[in-house]
Formats: sequence, C-alpha cells, structure tokens
Amino acid sequence: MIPRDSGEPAYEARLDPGVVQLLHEQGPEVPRRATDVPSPPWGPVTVPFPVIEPAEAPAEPVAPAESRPRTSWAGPAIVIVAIGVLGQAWLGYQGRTTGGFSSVLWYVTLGLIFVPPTALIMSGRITDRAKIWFALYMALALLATRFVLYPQQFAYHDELLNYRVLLSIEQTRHLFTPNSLLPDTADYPGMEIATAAVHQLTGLSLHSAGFVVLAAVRVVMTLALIRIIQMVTGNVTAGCLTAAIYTTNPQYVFFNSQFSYESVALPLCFFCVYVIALSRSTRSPLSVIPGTAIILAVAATHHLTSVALVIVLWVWYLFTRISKRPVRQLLPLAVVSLVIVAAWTWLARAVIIPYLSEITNNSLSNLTTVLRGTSSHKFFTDSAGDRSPAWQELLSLASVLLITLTLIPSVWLAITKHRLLSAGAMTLFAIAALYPIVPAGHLTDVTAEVTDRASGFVFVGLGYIVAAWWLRDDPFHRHAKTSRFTVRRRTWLLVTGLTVCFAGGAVLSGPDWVYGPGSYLVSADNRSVDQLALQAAYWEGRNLPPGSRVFADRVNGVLAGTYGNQHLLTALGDKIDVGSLSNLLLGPSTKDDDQADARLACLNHVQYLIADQRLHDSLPHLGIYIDNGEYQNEPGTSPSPPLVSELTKFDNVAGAQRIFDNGSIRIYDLRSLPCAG
Amino acid sequence: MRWLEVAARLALIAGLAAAITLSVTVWVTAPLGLLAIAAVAELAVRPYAASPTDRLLLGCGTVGTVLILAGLALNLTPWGLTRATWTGTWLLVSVSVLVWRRDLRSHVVWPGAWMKSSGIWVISASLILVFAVVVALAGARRWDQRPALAFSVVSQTDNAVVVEIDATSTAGEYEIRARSDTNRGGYASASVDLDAGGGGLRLRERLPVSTSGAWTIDLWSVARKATVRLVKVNVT
Repeated sequence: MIPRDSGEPAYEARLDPGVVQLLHEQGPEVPRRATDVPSPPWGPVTVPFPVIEPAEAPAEPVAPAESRPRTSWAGPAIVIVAIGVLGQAWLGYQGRTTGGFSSVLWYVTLGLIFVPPTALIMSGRITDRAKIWFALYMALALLATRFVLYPQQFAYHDELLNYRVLLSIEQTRHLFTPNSLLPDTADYPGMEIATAAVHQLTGLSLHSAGFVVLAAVRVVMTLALIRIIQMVTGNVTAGCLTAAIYTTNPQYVFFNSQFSYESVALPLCFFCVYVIALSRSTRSPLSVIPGTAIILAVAATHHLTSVALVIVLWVWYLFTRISKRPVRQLLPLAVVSLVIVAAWTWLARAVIIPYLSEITNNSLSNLTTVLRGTSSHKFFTDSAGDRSPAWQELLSLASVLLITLTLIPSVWLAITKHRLLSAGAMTLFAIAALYPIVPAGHLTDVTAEVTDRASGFVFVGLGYIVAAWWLRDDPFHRHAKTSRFTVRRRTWLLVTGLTVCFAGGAVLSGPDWVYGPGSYLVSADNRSVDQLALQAAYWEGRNLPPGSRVFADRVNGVLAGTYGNQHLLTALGDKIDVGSLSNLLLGPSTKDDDQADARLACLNHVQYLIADQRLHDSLPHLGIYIDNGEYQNEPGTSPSPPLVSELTKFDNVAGAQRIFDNGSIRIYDLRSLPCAG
Repeated sequence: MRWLEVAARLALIAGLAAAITLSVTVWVTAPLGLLAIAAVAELAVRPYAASPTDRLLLGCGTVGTVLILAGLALNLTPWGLTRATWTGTWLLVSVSVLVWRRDLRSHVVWPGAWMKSSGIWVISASLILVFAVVVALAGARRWDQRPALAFSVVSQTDNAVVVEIDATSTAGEYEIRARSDTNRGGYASASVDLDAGGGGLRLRERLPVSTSGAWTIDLWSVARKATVRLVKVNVT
C-alpha cells in the first residue's frame, strides 16, 4: 500500500469564498493519522470535482511519525538527474564539434533524468511533498535538456516562426504585426508578450527570456496536472504518477518544450481547469474572474488549445448534468470561454481559417492516398530515406502496445465503477478514450503531426486512468473500496513500463536527427540551421531593405523572415502557387525554362531569391524542400534532388544579380529583371 | 505587515524599476527582476495556497496570465509594449499587490533541517547543472567559430560598387577582381591579407566601375590560384 501523505495538504478542503482553507496545516512533514482529524470538514461542495457518495475519512492509517518513509536514494537521485542533463550538454557539444549525435547516449541520458524520480515517486519511500518536488524536478530537467542542446538561439522551425513575432513586438512595440512565415502566429501572441515582458523586466536576452517563460509554464503544467488528479483521486501519488505518464507523450520532450505558442497555451489550459476546480464552491459571482482571465490568456495564445479548452469545459458541464451534480461556476465559465474564443477566432478569421483549412486539406489528402494504397509513407523512415534503428522501432511499438494493453483494463475498471465517478473523472475518461487516434495518425506524415499535437490533451486522461487503475489498491477515487481488483503491482514493473513508454514516445516524436545539433542535413529544420545559413540571414538583415519579397527553401526562407527581417513568400501569407513558383529553385534549367522562370518571378514580384546549393545533396528529410505542393519530378520517375544548375539557374538569367555568395548559399537580386508587360 | 517588510518590498519594487531604467547590467537586473516578480506573485496568491508547491503553481500561472493580459492592454496604448510601459505596469501592479495584501505578514524561515539532510546533494546537482550550461555554451561557441567565407555586394552607385568580405576562422591572401562582361574594363584590388579569427571579420572594399552593364566580381585566392567566391552586378 502506498502510504498516504505526510505534509502535503490534501484537497479534502473546504473552500471558503475566495480563500482556500486547507485541511492539513502546512509546516513540518509530520504525518497525521486519519483519526487526528477532528471531523471530516468536507461536505458535498468541499471537493473540487463532484462525487456521488458522501465523503469518508481516508480508510488506511497513515504511518506514524517515527516510521515516516525515508530513503537514502533521494539525494543520489537528485545528482543522477543533473548528470543526465550534463550528458545531454555533452551530446550537444559533440554534435557541434564532431557533427555526430549519438542517439543511444541521448536516450540513456534521458533515462537518467526520467527513471530515478519516477522510481522514487512510486517507491512509497518518500513523502508526498517530496514526490511532487521530484516530479517537478524531472519535468524541469527534461526542459533543461532543450536549453543545453541549443543554449544560444532557437533553431527549430516552429520556434523561429514564433521568434519572428517576438522580434516584431520588439521592433514595432505593438502586437499583431503580420508574419508572412505563418500568418496565424501574429494573431496569437500570448507567449511572445510574456517573453517580451520578461526580457524588458530582467534584461535577459530574448532567447533566455523565452526559456524563463517555458520554465514557468512547465512548472504550471506539472503542478496543475498533479493537483487536478489529486483533486479527483484524493491521492498525491496518483497525481505524480499521472505527471510521469504524461511525460511519455510523444510531444513532451521535444515539441512541447519548444518556444512555440502551444507550449505556453497548454499549461495555461491546465491552469485554467485547476483554478476553476479550486474556486468552484465559491458563491460570489466575482469568482469567475480568475477563470475568465486565464481563458482570455489561452485564447490570445493558441487557437486549437483554446478550442480544446472550450470543449473540455462543455464536456465537463455535460457530465455534471448527467451525474446530476451541478458545479456552480462551470456553466458561466463554459459560456464565457465559448464567447471569448469565438470572438478571438472571429478577429483572427482572415489568417486562422486558411491555416486550419490547409491542415485539414493536407490531412484528408494524405488519408486519401493511404486509402487508395498510393501512399509513399514509410514508418520509421524519413523522406530522405534515413531509417530509425531497429531497437527504436521496437521501443516505440512496445510503448504503443503497453499503453494500449494498459488502457483496456483501465477502461474496463472505469466502466465497472462508472457510478462512482465524478463528472471530472468522466471527463478525463472521455479524453483518454481518444488515445487510439495518436498511433493511428502515424499512417501519414501530416496526420501524425496533427494527432501528435492532440496527445498533449489525450495523455492527461490517459495518465489519470492508468494511474487510477495502477493504484486501485488505494482508493480509485476517494470513496472507492478495495475489491478483487486490488491486486498489488510491482513498482519495478511500472517503472520499467513507463521507461519503455517514455523512450518509445520520444522515438515517435521524430527521427534521431531532430533531437540535437550535428552535421548539416537537407531540409531538416534544426540540422539545416548552420553557420552558413545564419550568415546569409544576418547579411540579409544588414543589407537588404526590410520587408523585401523573398523566395527561398523552407529553412533559408524562415531564417530570412526571422533574422533577415524579410517578407518570405508563402502560400498561406501571399496566396502564391507553390507548385509553379517552386520552379525558381527546383524546376529544370533550359534557356526556355529560365525565361519562363524569370517571367514567373516578375509575375509574383519576387525581389530576392535565395538558392542553397546544398539542397542538391539529398532528398529533403522533412519531405519538402520549400512547401507542400512544390515542384516534383515527372510522374513515374523516382524523386531525385534538384541539380546545382537548376538551383543556380538565375546566374544565367539576364538582369538577375548574384549579390551574395558564401560557397553554399547564393542570393539573387531579381529587381532588375526585364519584366516586359 | 511590519514596516520593515514594507520597506524591504518597496525597495525591491523600486530597485527593479531603477535597474531597468538605468539599464544596469543583466547580471544584476535578471536576478533582481526574477526575485522581485516572485516576491510580488507569492504575496498575491498566498491566501489561496497553503503549501509551497501551491504557491509556486498559482504564482507562476498568475504571472503568466497577468503578463499576457497586461501586454494586450498595453498594445491599446499609443506607446505600446516598451521598456518604459512595462516598468510602469510593474510599478502599478506590484504596489497594488502590496496595498491589497497589507494585512499579511511574512515569515522567512531558513530550511535548516532540509539543508542538513539534502543540502550536499542539491549543491552537487547545482554545480553539475552549471557545468552542463558551461559545456553547452562552449559547444555553441565552437560551432559559431567554424570557417565561413561570404562575399557580397552591399551597395552600388553609378561609378562604384562596394563589396564585403565576411569571414570567420579563415585566413589567407585574397584579391578582389572586377571585370565588365560587356566592355573591356576591369579592376584588381591590392591583395588582402585575411586573418579572421573565431570572432569573425568584416572587410569592405570600394571598387571603381568605369562602364555600365554587367560586371562580375571575383574573390580570388592567391594561394589556390582560383576564384573562391563570385558576385554579379548590373551597373547602370
């Protein structure tokens, strides 16, 4: 039996208007016996999520002070986690100096960060308060790995898109400056506002300020998750286990640690639910203000997360209706959230509708190719043909299998106990039931990106029901009784399983090269952002008129937009036809073609063209050189990289000037092209 | 709240505002700023949180939310989101919190028992983490210092073109040679001894161009006897 608390206040608390009066005194970690509590102070409105049965005191006795759980492993675990971070820093150093990035060591060092805290949390040998701190320490250490791998600047595609918004705020001092790289980011500037504020109030660089914001929201995400689950189960261990399970989601280590708007919106979304749950028993109508403020902050930060928040609140409300246990503040907040998100979406409709339409169209198109059997998608192989090692494939398959196998008894237990579940718990079950879409989405590249994003939500529910199932010898919820399901589980088995899921989730989030620095790769985001690409981008920032119309490949284009302060021509921002305009770089080079390309450049008012000859080295690792719909080889031929002569065809076009050359990247000034007519 | 605490908090609030206004070094402003923001946030949320983890959760979440909403509000002002407006917002919010929570008293307790049992491990881990950051920064510095040589046109007039050599970790003797593609005419610079270290070096050369039309400008390596970079311009 996992001992109940020792020091960390439980959420069996009476919530007076505006003030949380916690049951347990804060202070020294002296465990209290259940009998020490004079009388159960909680009534029907005292727990944040409604329950069916009247509350009871915790069934199991708590260990007396003299036998307070202790372990000598806590200290070494703190150091081992730090060594894991150091290992990641060393990998980054090696990647930069030798060009190699050892994926084996990457997973081993991540394991050093993940395993000791998880084992301690589940060991029952540390106090509840210590469990929470370890869960938080692990979460922050995992975030720190991103910092030590890229300590000076943002290098990933989405990071650069958002960094452009941040730079615009610094330059114009106002929000909503159009961002041609990804137009919708300008209309959801919440993360950039917070970063700009930290930058101005602390003097930190924009990059460091960004990491301070990411660290703060990582704290919010982890603790809110623990507290929400603790509110549902009355069990800190279940909350911490849920937090550990949550780290196994494919987005956690990589995508949700990036300087990207979703990385901030998601924690704020959790925070919103936590605050609503915390203040739900308050009678004052003013108690909706904190929740409303957070909803507004989420709406200003990320579109899909804010929509998901609205859905969660309405589903939660519906379950309160089904369970006939209304939550006082929930309906007003659900209505307010709908109004705020609808209003914000309406204001951003010009950019958000095309963006979401494109994602939908691409997903449907990919699915169609799968259904027709014409998809060229290969599992565990990127578009350039790099295949993940077999052990990684096995790990990821094992993780999906483990989660699915765990989900089945967990859901079964939930179904059999559904009468005991609160509306909050039912909401979490409903979210968890979406899990199959996460692995199923990997049938195509585009749908994998979409469904992996959903895992940020799905794993909250998944974590809860798996934790609840695992800890079913503790109360499944506060009022459950032990039953034939209360079979003791082995901690080592759980930790091993979680470690497999954690590593497998990391494998699912992308190929090896995506995790850290190393030698140059073609169209591979972070691995394409090298000193040559940056040199060109900085040169553009110094020497080209700001906001000039630039056309380039995916990576150099984003760098031109971010550091070069140029206007990158994109399908979303400028309604260009990528299929034809990509001929400027990828299309064949003959005299007639070159003239046609010159006319095309004129037609689209392309002022500067950035040609990276290294695109010739291989097929693009991310599937595209420029953008979806770009020029492809003739049907029936196998895809091949563009020739150098095709990339540099404007050397031979009259009127085009080559104004920059660093050996790999050439920049052409096309303003003097003879644009007849 | 005791007068001593009020004074300390006011000093922290005003100290941060002064540090921002006077553009004090980041090594002072950053810790001061983070400490001041944390102190104000902790005071604001204290009645709603009974444990350090709750205070941390509510504090971080509240700060994030308030910053975003404050930024949206500042955007509506003519001045926008500037250092001055953020400083003003900081003063307004922090003093308001101080007035709002004037009845609360703080007790700073040194976690002696905790330090005794875990201090050595925490200090060791902190040192390792600092070392990790040092290693990471060293790698990034090495990466920035990899060889790069760019040759570009930075401006042009009717009778001259200014070219730029931007080099990192590159050394050698180079010449800049310009020739007209349409007329006979050319120019060769004196040889340039390039000795760019890891910090990078940027040189500019003004080339006289005598005739209009297309010009090709080479960066010629004397040692390799070859053109290593090339740009083309149209002189009008």
